[in-house]
Amino acid sequence: MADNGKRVYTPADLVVGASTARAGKLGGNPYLPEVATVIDIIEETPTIKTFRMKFDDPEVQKNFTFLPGQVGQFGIFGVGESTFAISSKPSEKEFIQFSVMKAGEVTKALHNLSVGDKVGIRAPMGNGFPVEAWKGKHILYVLGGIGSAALKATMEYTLEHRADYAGITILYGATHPTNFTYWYDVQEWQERSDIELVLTIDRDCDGWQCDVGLVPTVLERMAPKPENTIAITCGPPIMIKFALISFEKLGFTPEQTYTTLEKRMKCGIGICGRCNVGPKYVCVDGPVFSLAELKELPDEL
Amino acid sequence: MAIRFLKQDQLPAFLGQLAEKARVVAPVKTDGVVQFQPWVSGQDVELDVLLAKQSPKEYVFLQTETYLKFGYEMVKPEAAGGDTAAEEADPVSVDDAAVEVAIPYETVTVEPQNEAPAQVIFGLRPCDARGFVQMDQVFGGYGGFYYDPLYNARREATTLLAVTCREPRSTCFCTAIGGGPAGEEGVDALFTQVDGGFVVEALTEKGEAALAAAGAALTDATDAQIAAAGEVKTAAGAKIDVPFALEGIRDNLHDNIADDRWHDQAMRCISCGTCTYVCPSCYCFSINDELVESTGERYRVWDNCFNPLYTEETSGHNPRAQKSNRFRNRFSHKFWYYPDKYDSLLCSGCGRCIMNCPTRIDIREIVRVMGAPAPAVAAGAASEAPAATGDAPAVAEGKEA
Amino acid sequence: MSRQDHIREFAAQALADGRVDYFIGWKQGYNSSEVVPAFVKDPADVDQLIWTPLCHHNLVTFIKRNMPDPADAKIGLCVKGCDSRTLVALLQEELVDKEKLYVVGVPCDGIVDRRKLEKEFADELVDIAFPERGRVVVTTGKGETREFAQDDVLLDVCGRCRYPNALYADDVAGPLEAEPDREESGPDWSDIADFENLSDDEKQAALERVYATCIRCFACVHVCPVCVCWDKCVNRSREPELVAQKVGAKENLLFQMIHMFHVAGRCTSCGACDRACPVEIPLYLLHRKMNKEIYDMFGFEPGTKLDEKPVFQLFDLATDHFGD
Repeated sequence: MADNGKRVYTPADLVVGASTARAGKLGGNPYLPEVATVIDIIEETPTIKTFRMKFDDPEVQKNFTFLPGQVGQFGIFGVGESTFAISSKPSEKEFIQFSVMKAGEVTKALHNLSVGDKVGIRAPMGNGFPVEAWKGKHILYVLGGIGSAALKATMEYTLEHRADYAGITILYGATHPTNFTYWYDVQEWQERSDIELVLTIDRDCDGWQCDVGLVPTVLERMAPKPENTIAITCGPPIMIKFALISFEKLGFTPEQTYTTLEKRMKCGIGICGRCNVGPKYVCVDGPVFSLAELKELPDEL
Repeated sequence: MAIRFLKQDQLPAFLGQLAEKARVVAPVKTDGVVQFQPWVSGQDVELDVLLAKQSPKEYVFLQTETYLKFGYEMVKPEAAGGDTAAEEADPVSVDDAAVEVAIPYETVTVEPQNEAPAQVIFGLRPCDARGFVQMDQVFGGYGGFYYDPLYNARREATTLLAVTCREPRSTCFCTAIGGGPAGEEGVDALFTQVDGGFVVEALTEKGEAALAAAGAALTDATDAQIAAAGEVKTAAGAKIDVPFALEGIRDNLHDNIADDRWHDQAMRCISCGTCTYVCPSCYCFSINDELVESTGERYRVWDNCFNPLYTEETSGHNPRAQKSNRFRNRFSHKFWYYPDKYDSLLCSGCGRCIMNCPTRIDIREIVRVMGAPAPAVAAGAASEAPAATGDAPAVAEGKEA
Repeated sequence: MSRQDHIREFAAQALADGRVDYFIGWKQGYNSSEVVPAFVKDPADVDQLIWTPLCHHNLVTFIKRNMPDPADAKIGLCVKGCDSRTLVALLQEELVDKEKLYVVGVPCDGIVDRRKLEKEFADELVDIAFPERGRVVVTTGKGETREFAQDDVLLDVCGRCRYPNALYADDVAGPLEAEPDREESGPDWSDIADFENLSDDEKQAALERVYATCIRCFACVHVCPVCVCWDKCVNRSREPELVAQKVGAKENLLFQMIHMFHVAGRCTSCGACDRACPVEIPLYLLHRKMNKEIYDMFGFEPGTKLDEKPVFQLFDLATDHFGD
């Protein structure tokens, strides 16, 4: 079976009782969530809450690492799991964080959680952004609404390693000033002189000091240069669609344009079959894809 | 390993001896319907009706499999002094640092489930066994994916005793997929019916162990019996049509992904899941939780890409909202997506999907049409799609075999 | 001119006139013992359309919500008497647009139950021929040939047929079949008499046994012409979760009970669910029982009168009464 150089895992690779958080891809029971306790809940917007959890097993907490852009299955025993981007800083050792917009069965139940409640987490999963390969480049983030959650860890990582990157620009849009997630961090970023931060809301309102206009419109007005730049976008599907068009207009090639996809997922480990876009599984081959990769896939986004 | 012989009238004794050590699963006819069932002594094994309605995959990849059980409990910690009356008596004293209030907290106990009793599946066909081999790659972590402990525990504990198909059906196309009516891939021991009984060949150590366990019912096969089995195999192989060639199918499916003919092909599909649930290699599933009061379970359950809810997102957006999209996914998965990941095909040519489809959609026709280069309908179209130029083969246009 | 010739002529005409985008009839399946639904777009292809006693598919399935492709297609289709009742049921509920349909009624004297024939042989069937009215000649893969009388191998529903001719059609494929005197005799419910005679406990046990083998493929639901919920089907919904997705005798029975209640007063006993079930569960049992209750209570036969409303749409909360 392994004649093409790919590794075949056998039962000998199994570490009984180990979880994905502990053993990664190799072995363990990838369906078995680690039990964690909610230690903090932040109400970001009327529909978005951020949950901070500590793994109950201190060893798991101590050894937990992930790549910016990776996701996890976060859920409640008895309700179910859903996939969310890990939105804590990759350097954070004290807790793991997910930001959740209230929408369906699982997310409604998550929004009812209180500090002290027990949850299940399977993480990390997926590929993450190639932040190492991007060293020396200018990074342009274009995000809207809950899309900020998917890019939060990556933004934090590049801000922490600011010196490794040529520059950082963040264009962040929301429908209304109350709908900015991580406002406390955004205010901190505004103070920093080493990043360019542009905030925009869809329609003007009293007291708003920054830009007004839809994200793609503002992006085209900003007219960032594509040279030595990586453009990353995430937000509502319609925003992503038009942002990608704007990037193309501005001269960004598909190879330097990235996004992260969301799909209905169940197993999160490339087996159950539902999150495929053509031959790619969003849960293991993604969620991060370059526009060049997306162009190879069927129109099933 | 010696080739053995099982007399027809010794079959019940053979299965009975196996049943002492493991669960025996075999095709049994109930109310006119043949299905794989846990065999009990005295039951007739149905080998004349070719192909049970479903492959025996459900004995390794359970249709419903509970893999976690959990229970919530409120724990009252041992408070300093342990006086519960104090905390209830005077809430004001909460602020008093001298009194520690014991606040009950929630705990959850999670127990993974994974039972895999030893079992022998008798009477499956070589195509059914190949279905397991194809699923093995998905669940076995082939190509750097995750290793699935649930499937593999059962798979390890399962021995496959297959029976050669003496009389293949007109819907069989195993040879086109690289198998055959006496195919050995995935088979632990192969039983070939000849006059008076079965010629039995152990093909793996597992198969040898099973035969040894029921050795009393077996004798050594004579040269004449072995020769007869060889003839049966050759004759059976010759009876099977090869409805399409494998070369180019994957690339053509890729090139035809946006082809309008997918709509035509999907017209008579009712978007149910029959084809996937009778298939020996379709493996997609869903995961659900149940909670009653403070205890519950998480289980996986077969699901299929024709289910309109399969890909529907919370927002209501559905990447495969149209029936034709879902239809395209199944065939592309079998002949393009899976091969991309696992360097093999996700079909063993059993033809169950053809026989059991409520509208008899014919996978052979789909592969012939959609797996061939798009016909060059117009010069303009041809120049846009280079794959369609040149020698477009004679495609069976909507015609049944 | 045979009914088959009429069908081909009507189809060719409607396609040539642009009255329809495609025409749905029946054609031969993967061998000549099988018939499958046919979708014809080009008048030159109408010769594949056939009419034989194997044309069991209720083609109304293919005009229900989410089936037409494109969604706003103008569609021509053939309906037998039983099929036409499901069409009338959809029209009553305004679930299809009459203006986009061209309907050819096909008078029918009974459809052969292929599964009854299958049960007669261990081998597969490769040909079923009808040399003349009433005779059925079956050939198997090994070449065995046997003859049956058509009346002996009809679908059970055909033996009780009250509507051999379409109740709604734009054109009719040849002369009508003789109609039974419906004033004289009511529906024949003898098929569920055995079930009705059981005690409650026995009924429960019988139903659990019948549905124990269900594999939840949803063929019965999707093939049902009056089942139109698709992704909103409560049998699959997690919110609210009425039925566990688990497969088991209890869950399967609940699933079928919900299906029965949802098509109560709309089910015309066409039998499409029965024939679609890959594990051959007698699905008619529950539906027929419900249909009988509705007939006894309201004298209502679903899908028989175009200007009628389905019985459960007549319920008036204010008067707590079903219409008149």
